[in-house]
Amino acid sequence: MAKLSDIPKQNSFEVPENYFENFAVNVQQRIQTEEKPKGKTVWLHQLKPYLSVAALFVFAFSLWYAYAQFATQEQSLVAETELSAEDYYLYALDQSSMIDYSTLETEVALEADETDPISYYLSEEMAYSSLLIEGY
Amino acid sequence: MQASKNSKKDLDKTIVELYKTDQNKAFGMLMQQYQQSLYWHIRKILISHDDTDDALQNTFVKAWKSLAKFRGDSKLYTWLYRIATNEAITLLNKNKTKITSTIDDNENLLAETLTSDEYFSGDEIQRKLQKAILTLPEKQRIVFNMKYFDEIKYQDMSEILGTSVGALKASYHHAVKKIELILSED
Repeated sequence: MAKLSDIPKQNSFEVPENYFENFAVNVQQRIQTEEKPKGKTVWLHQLKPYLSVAALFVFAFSLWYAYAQFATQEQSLVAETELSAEDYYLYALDQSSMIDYSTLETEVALEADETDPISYYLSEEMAYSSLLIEGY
Repeated sequence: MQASKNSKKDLDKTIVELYKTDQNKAFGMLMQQYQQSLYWHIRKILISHDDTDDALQNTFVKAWKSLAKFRGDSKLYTWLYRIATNEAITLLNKNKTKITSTIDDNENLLAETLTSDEYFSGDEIQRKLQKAILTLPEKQRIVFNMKYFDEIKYQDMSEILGTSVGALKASYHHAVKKIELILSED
């Protein structure tokens, strides 16, 4: 049985030979090695604030461009939809409806022209004899 | 004792001042002043010499790179110990995840490292003491080593470990009790 107070307070760990003598040199070499690539990229560090601002502008422009593209697309879609509605109505009118419509239009025109003398002479009801009497 | 404390404080101040004017000299002084004490502090946490070497190098590289930003709010001594402790714990956790999955396994791993360590010259009772220390929870183990072997003041330990003095005293007390219990078992 051992008490803590009975055990001599000592450092029982050891280090390899000349460890501490070489340690400082090793650390210095490591610091220099780690500092070298830093030197190569020093211009990057100097440009960092400008690059950040540029990146922000690019981001803002991208957002604006994306929005503009979206808005244009939306407008084209509305125009296309309007055109489509017109097309739809035209498509809905079948051929017979169009004929009916033109016939109706002609009839209306003829009825309206009965009072007109030229129309009267040209009408089928006018006798050829009357044309002769009148000296034609 | 007071003179030594003052000279240590002055030396720290000189290192920080020299860093701005003569970096080679500052580096030499920093190494001379701290490489051994920090080595032994880390070694007691990691046990293995190779791991200690890695953690100590990381400590000095980080400290050197950050020395320009060191404002002197804390002592250079406690600041360096804090970096060293963090580096040691980081490496310890890395080893834990690499090799083992439980705390018990990690304890065994450190005990095995101690058994096979060619750089351990202690006799049987010293080995037994070290094995008893390894049974302590990680933070309690660090507190015990810092107080028992390095005789660091609680106030400084508080700055290094970011724990209150009261909690550190309680932690040390529990650690001593546990170690004595283990030692008395055989």
